[in-house]
Order: sequence, then structure tokens, then C-alpha cells
Amino acid sequence: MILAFAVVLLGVALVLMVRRPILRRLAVRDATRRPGETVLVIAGSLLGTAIITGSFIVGDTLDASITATATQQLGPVDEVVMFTSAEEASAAAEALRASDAVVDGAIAMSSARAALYTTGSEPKAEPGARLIEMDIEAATSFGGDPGQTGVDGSDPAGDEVFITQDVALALEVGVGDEITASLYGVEKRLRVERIFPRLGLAGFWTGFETISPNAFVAPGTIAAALEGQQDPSVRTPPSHLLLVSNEGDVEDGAVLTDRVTREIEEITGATNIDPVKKDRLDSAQTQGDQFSEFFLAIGAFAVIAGILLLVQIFVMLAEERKSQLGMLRAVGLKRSDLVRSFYMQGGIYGLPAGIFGTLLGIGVGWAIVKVAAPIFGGFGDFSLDLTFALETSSLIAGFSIGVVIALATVFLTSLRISRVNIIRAIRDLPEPTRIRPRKRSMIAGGVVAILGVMSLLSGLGNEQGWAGVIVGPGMIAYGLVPLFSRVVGTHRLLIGASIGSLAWGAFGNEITSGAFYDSGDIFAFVLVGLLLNVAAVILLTQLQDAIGAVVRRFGAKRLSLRLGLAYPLARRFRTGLTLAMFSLVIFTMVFISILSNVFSGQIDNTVKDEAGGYDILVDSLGTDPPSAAALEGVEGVDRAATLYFGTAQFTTPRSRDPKPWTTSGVDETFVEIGPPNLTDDDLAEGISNDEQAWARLLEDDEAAIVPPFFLNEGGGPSIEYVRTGEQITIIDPVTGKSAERTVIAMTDDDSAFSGVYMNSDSLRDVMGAQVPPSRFYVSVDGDADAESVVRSLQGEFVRNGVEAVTFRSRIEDFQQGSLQFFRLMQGYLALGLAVGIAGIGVVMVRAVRERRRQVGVLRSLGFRPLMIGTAFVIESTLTALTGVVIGVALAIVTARQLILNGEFGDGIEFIVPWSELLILAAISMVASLLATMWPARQASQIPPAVALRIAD
Amino acid sequence: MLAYERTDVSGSGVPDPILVAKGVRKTYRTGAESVEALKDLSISVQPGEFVGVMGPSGSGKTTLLNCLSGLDDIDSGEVWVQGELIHSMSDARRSTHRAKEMGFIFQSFNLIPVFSAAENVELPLLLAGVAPSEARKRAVATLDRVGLGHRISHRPNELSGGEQQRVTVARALAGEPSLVWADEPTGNLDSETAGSIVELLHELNRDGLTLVLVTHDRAIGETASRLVQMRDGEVEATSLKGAV
Repeated sequence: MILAFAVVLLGVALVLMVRRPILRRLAVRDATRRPGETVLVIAGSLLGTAIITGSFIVGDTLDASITATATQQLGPVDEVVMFTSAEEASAAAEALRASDAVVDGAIAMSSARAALYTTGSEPKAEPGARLIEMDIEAATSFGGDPGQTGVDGSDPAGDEVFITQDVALALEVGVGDEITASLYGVEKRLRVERIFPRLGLAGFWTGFETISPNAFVAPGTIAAALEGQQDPSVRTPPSHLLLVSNEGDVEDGAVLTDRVTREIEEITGATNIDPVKKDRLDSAQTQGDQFSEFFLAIGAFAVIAGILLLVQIFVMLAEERKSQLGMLRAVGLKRSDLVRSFYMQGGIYGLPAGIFGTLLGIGVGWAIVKVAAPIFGGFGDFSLDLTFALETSSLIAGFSIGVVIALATVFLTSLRISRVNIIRAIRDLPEPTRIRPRKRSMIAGGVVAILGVMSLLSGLGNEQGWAGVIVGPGMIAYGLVPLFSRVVGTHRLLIGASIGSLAWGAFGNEITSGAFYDSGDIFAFVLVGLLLNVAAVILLTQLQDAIGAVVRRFGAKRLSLRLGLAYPLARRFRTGLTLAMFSLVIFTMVFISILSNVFSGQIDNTVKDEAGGYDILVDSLGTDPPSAAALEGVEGVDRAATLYFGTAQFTTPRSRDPKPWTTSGVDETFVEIGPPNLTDDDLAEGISNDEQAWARLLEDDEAAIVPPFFLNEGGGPSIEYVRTGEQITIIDPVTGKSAERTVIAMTDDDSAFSGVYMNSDSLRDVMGAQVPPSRFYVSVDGDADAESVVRSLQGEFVRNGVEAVTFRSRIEDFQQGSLQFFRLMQGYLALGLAVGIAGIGVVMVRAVRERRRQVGVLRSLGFRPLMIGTAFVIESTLTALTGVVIGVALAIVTARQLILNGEFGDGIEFIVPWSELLILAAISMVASLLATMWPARQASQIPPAVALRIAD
Repeated sequence: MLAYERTDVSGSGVPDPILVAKGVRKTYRTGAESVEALKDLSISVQPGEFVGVMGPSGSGKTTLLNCLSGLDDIDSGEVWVQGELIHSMSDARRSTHRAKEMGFIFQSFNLIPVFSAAENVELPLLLAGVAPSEARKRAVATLDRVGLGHRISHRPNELSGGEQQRVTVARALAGEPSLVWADEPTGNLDSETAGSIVELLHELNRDGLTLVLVTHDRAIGETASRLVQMRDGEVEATSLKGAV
């Protein structure tokens, strides 16, 4: 669609060029007579295309990387059905194979979580491994493509084990080495016979982890271990699964999921069919799209800056050629011809900018992926291997959007600049100041104001109407300006409208109780940023006379300063465009910088919020968890609280498809020692503090406390799928049993992924043994070193698969990942800064050309070359500085409001990273100074006689 | 009332010339072609003189103005202004010298569009280091002198052509220069306005202002006290008023 639009727009330019040779000559010569400037214009314009293309490529990469995990961890498996016994699973597999369902594989498998470890001088452990029993021979041909199953050969013997590369890496073992498997309290020595890749059935894994620590054992191994267990109700039972492969290859098969699901239901009678492949591919697509959108939103500021640059360039072109335009009109060219000529020129800039922008976008995407890869790869078992990928469709879309934006901008600008009065243009006279607004301005203003009212009213109370709420009041305020300008005066009205819009941008979210950001759409931030910056720039341009008076008063003797200020103050529209270009980019960079510093400075708060009275998080095997009392026996441990922990399926009023999320059942001990902090604003009616909420949870079997980011996947801002007071449904993925729970509160943080809290009875009532008491929150003695206690716990409970970590180090790791991500965004935004710098360069080069004659006059009056050059440098530096000041100030105000309002959580301290902001401002200033040096030097070196003789 | 002193450095009773040019040559080169714009030109201007320079298009009038005022470099020869060899000065020194000693009036006014009339006029004063308040006072006085006392806050685009040229004249006079160069000052004006500008220049000359006026308008040229006729980069003839 967008490609067709771009082709049409370029086609129009081409047809015009063929059919209108005079206009073509005009456009081509204007575009090519100054190659240096043309290169600058194209460079400024192509960055927008590069940013758009780069964003799409980031999405492609994420999509492809997650899809790759589907190949690695699911292979031919499209659906998974859970049964309560191995016999049922086998019977279902057989029935399905015998049917004419559109499947090319159905196989049963049993599995149980186990700890695998080596003994000896340097023991290694893989506490979260899974023992699998499966007919290996049958599995080899599962799905019709043996190359995608990852397994071959026949079943292991009783003392043999086939392990995946992930296990081999963790235990540092190879074929022939001995390892120990521990499950249900039984230890079994096994010899490694084969090592499988993380692929297909060998890599089969449906958890959140991206590694597959699987170990294939002889049939009967799990059952033998199970026989000795003491209390089956607190041990995760083995899983008995039916794995189904749809016809088609690894990815294509997923399109048959709906049909196969129905067929499985009909043939086996099972209802809890998990479409794992489809879900994974959908998730890949969703997360890819979310990341694309996220980078696109962050990059939107740079794209807007690019648009402003293009408008600026064409406005300057028109001013420079004003008399030429007048002459052309005088000799018979129509206004529409001028538009056509400018449009052709836009095409001449737009096409190469689109092509080179797309190519640069590949580089941008590649660079982002390179920087992001270690971030995504830094989450241990949950790491994602980012592999650069790009789709042709992304390149086409990036190119097309870039071209459409460029040509549409040029076209709209041309409509405005082609409106010249022939005589005034020929004689280079200024446009008269209009005292009374035109009737059409008044009508347009009225329409804008009415639309503003409608947007605001329809947006309030409608989560998806955030755009109307954000811009509605601004539309009303600015729309009313032409209507009342005769009574109050345009100048005053614009100042009022701008101050009002600024106040709305800064405080509107608070006034509307979160209507700006409740939807979680990141483009809301883009729109707020745009509103604030536009209002600030309009306000400043309206105050320029006052600013000029101050400068004249204090800088009267500094001629370069007066001269440097005179032009920006006199040309409000052009100065406003340059200011907006700069301030928008600086605004985003500073905002991200503040957020990154705020979050990295919150470790103590976050630890306090999340850990409550605890120090260490302990996870163990569901098939063989230790007891809290045993943990308390370890030196340094003060107390340990047990959590019944597992993964359930959930639905909410805004997320109807069941999605997996972790859940924890807690008891009095957990609450007594010190549970996590809850969000103050999200307590249910009748509950006024954390203590009451936790007490309610313990006594009310219908209550649940949900975490932030509940059911969210991928990056980007959080979507609120459920609110306090609403009901969620919890579903046991094995039995399909479900129950309703009411959300009574929300936790502040959940980097431990303890998920949805319920009281242990309430949770076990639904999930049974699927939530074993395998997670512990541990507090240490006052004088104990938590890190040493972690090492002791892991050493003493290896066979229970204990993995312990201090809350502090876990949160620090998470914060580190976030910080790196913020840095990545800042680097990405630097592209926008490049647009701003290129913009200043273009503006100054054009300014020098435009003012050659005036430079000559000044030189004839006795201005030394240095003074001329200094005036140009002052002009650009002050413009850039003002842009920086606006951007910084608005970012600080916006970030402060959002943080203090609790948009990012309670109790977050607002910190302004002044040193970082100073560096950022200094880089921007130095870069803009460098961009001005060349044109300023050019200006200072114009011989006065030449400048006076040559008008152009 | 403005007053201009006549210098008599030599003490001979005859004032020393303000400007002396000897053997000045200037050639413009465009690619392989070169045009000799000034050919061994020599001329001197006495204090208080009103020298008119006339000639057909391309005769070198404007080149003469540019080279003799130091706005442009010369290929050979010497130009002395107030006893100083201007082309041997550095560019910065020449700029300062120009600010102190010369004023310029151009055909297309060449006012700074973003400055008001007063701001345009006070520029050379500020350049010369005059205090801002004093500069403004003198700028206003000069504008008043040229009949624009009521237009001091207007920007160039708010003034008529004649008014703009008067601001240019005021700007040229404000620094009380030794010599004022006028390049076709009436070229962009209607005849009535042109007449009033010429009359203003004569009035200033009568007050002692030394003026070199380049024009192609014989009627204006002939009002000068000395008329230099140029052709093909050379002085074709020089005549005193009444002898033309």
C-alpha cells in the first residue's frame, strides 16, 4: 500500500518532468547548481528514512531470533496436550496417528524436573534440567523431516543418558563422562552416551527459558524414582505429554493449528491443547512489532526533525529565489507550475534520499542489533540470541515511507511558498503584516477548535482516545486565535495558547488521572513531546521582541552579538523551525537520560520494594524441594518462607486468550517476615495499606495480588491487562481446572517473577501439585554476608537443584540490562541529533548565500572578517543553545511530573543527571559550532567588492 | 550642523589630497579570459572636492570606486588615503581604516534589513568604538540632518526608496569620514527623489564633505565640482565645473 503510494508520488514527479520540460529544467538546475548544498539536503532528509528502515530491521531481527527459538525448542512440534498418565498420552498418540487428521507426527513423552550434577574436585550442576522418556527411534522420523528432530538412534539403556549441548556446557561433560541425576529424592548415576543439539524434540522446551537442559533417559527411570517419594501432594508430578506435528514444515505447519486442535479434541477427547508453535510464532511477531514500534516511536522525533529540516530548506529556497519566482509568475507561469517545479525538485532530493536512507537504515539496524545482542544475551537462561535479519518488505516499507514523507512535505510546503505577490516578489518587498485575519483563517481556526473539543470529549474516559486528550486543548487554544485576534490581538493570544498548551502537556496527565499514558502506547509520549516543544517554540518566537530588547540593552556594544541575534529574531518562522528541530531531539535524549539515571539510582529502593524483609531468593526442583526448616539450618540463614510456585494460564478482562504467567502461594510466615511492597494507588476498596492487603490475601481465598507487567511480553511500555477490583481467571494447564480471583492489589516490582500471589490454599486448590513448595524467600542473620549464604545454600542443596541469588544482585543485573538498553536508545537518538546538526549546517550555508550583499555592506562599513564570522557563529550557537535549553527544560519538567506522579512506580526519587546533561549539551553545541564553522568562514572571506557586485 | 575640516599637512596653503592613486591596474579573470578593468589609472582627490566619475557601462567606474576605496585589491599601483597606503595594510587594518575614514552610499541602498534606521546608522559609530548611548544620539542627529528624524525606528522595508537612500547617506556620514564614496546613489530612484538626494549631497559637500560620486547620469555628473570621464578603464578626460 505504502509502496504504491510512494510509486504514485514519484511517478507524478517523473511524468511532470517528461511533460513539462521548462519546469524540469528549472527544477534540475536549481537542484544541481550547488552540489555541496544538494548533498547536505539529501543527507538531512535520508536520516529519517534510515531511522524508519532501521526500526523495521530491529523488528525483523527480533522476530527472526524468537522464531529461531521455535525451531530450536519446538522443531516439528505444533501442539502439546497434557495428560495425567503416560498410558493416556500413548493411547492418544496412537489414535491420532491412525486417524486421517492433517498431522505428520504424534508422539508421547514423559518428563520430570531433575537436578543434574557432576562430582569430583570441581563439581558442576544444572539444577533446572528435565529428564525425558521418549521413544527415540519413533522420534527420529517425527514430523517427516529427521533433520529437524535433533534426535537419532534408539533409546538409552538403564544407566545411559543422552543430553543436550546446553547440559553438556553447564556440566562441562562429554560422551563417556558420568553424571548424577536427582529427582524425587532419588539419585541415579548415568553415563553420557550421546549429546544432542538444541533442536526439535531434543531441544523441546516450553518454559520461558531459551536454553533446553534436557536429558533423555531409559523408559521407567522417572517412574522408578517416583516410587520412593514421601508426600506426592507437594512434589510436581511427571508431565505426560502428547506432542503433535502438523503437516507442513516447521513454520508452515502452524497455519493448520486451529483445524488440528479440533481434530485432536474429536479424536482424543482432550480439551487442554496448547498451540505452542502458533503461540511462539505469534509472540515472535508481536514482540518484533513491539520493538519496531518502540524504536520507531523513539526515532519519530528525529523523523519529525527531518521533516522540519525539509520545510526549512524549501522555505529558504523560496525566499532566496523570491524575485526569480516573481519574474517567472510575471512571464506567465501559474502558481500551480511553481508547485510542480518545487515538487520535481523534491523528487530529485527525495529519490536518492530514499535509496541512500534505506541503505543507511540497514547499517543503523545492524548497529542496533550489534549493540543490543549482548543486552538480550545477558539474561542467563532467559537470554535471546539476536541474529541480524531483514525482510525485503521492511526495506521497501522504509524506502516508501521515507519518500512519501519527503514528497508530501515538499508538496505542502510548496503550496505555501508558491503563494507570492508578483510585484512584491520582483521588487523583493516584504509581505504586509495582516492586521485582520483572513476569513478563511477564521473558519479554519473555528474548525480546528471544534475538532479539538470533539477530540478531547471523545478521548476522556476512553483509553484509546489518548491522542485526542493530549492535543485537544491545544487545538482549541490555537484554533481560537484567529477568531479572537481582532479583540485581544494575535500576539497575546498566541502567548496565552502556548502557555496553556505547555501547562497541559506538563500537567494534563495528572489532571486527567492518567489519560495520557494509561493505554501504554509509547506514541503518547511522542505526541506529548511534540505538543510541548511546538508550544515552547511558538511562545519563544512571540517573546522575541522582548528578548531582542534585552540583548540590545546589554549587548549594545558587541556588534557581532547584535548582528548574530538580529537575523534569528527577525525571522520568526525560520528560527522557530530550527529551534523546534533541535529542541525535539534534545528533549528525547535528555528525557531518556533522566530516566536511565533515575532507574539506575533506585537500586536500594527497588530492593526494599521487592525483597521486603528478605535477602535471598531460592528456587529448587519441584520434584524434590528442600524444606524451609532445612534451609534455616544453613549457617547465616535467619528465616525462610516457603512459596508454592509454578506457572499457570491466566485470562483477564483485557486478555481473553489464556497466557502463561508465574504464580506463588504464600502463607503467614511469608507475610510476617516482610512481603514485597504494593503500589499505593492500586489498593482495592476497603484496603488502605500493604498490611491490610496481605492480611486480606491470607484470609480470602478469592483474592489475588498481581505484579506490574502482568501478562506483558516483549519490550516497550507496560500494557495494563487488569486493574484492581477486576477478576482474573487462573487455569491449570494440565487439568484445565479454572477459578476466578479478584485483584486486590499490585506489587511495585517483580524481577523475581514470583508472579500472581494468592494464599497457598487458594492456589493449590486450582493447581494442585503443579505448584510445589519449591521457592523460598530467605532472610539472613544481621551480621551474615548474603553472598556467602547463597554459596552455602547452593552447595548444600545441589541434589534439590537449589539456585539461590540475592535480591540485590538479581535487581542489579536487571538494572544493568535496562541501563544498557537506555544507552542503546540514546545512541539511536544521536541520529536525530545528526539531523539537527545537518539542519544548522544547511541553514547557515544558505544564510551566508542569502546575505552575501549584506556581508559586503558590513565589510565596506569596516566590519573585520572575524566579526562577520563571529556573528554567524553566534547566530547558530544561540539558536542551538536555545533549542538545547528548551529541550532540556521540557524534558526535566515532563520526567519530573511522570516520576513524581508514580507513572514508573511508587517512591522513585527524581534525580537530574546534571553532569550527563552538560556533556550532552556540550556535544550538541560543539557539533553545531563545527557545522557553522565552514559557512561562517566562507562568509568572513567574501571580498566586499565581490559581495556588493553579486546579488546571488 | 556637520562640518568637515580641510587639511593642509604640507603647510603650503594648498591642502594635501585626501586620496592619491598612482598607476592603478586591475584585471578580472574568468577562466581563460581576462578583462583589464583599470589601466594605469592615476587620480587624486582634494579635501572638500565633489568628484563625479562618469562613463559608459563597463568603463570601470565601479571598479575605480572599489579599488580606490580598498574594497577590492589591485594588481599594481598605489592608493594613498589620508597619507596611508591602503593596499599594503592587512585586511583587518584596512577594515578599521575604512570604518574611520570612509563612508559609502550604494545604488541599491544595501541597508541591513533586520536593523532599524537608527541601528543601521549607528553601526559605523559603534565600530569606531563610540559608546552606545552616544552612538545612538549621533545616529538620531544624523538622521534628523537628512530629514528622517521621524523614521528612526523603522526598518528598511518600512521606508520608501528615497528614505532608504537617505538612511544610507546618514550611515555614510555618521562616522564623520574624510571621504564618502557614492556608487550610482540615484540609480534606483525616481527623478524627483533622485534630485532631492543629489541636492542633499551638494549641501553636505558645501559643509565640507569630500565626495566621489560614480554615475552614468550626465545631469548629475555635471553638478560635480570636477568630472572624471572614463572609458575602457582609463581616465578619458577631467574637467572642472563650468568647463564641461
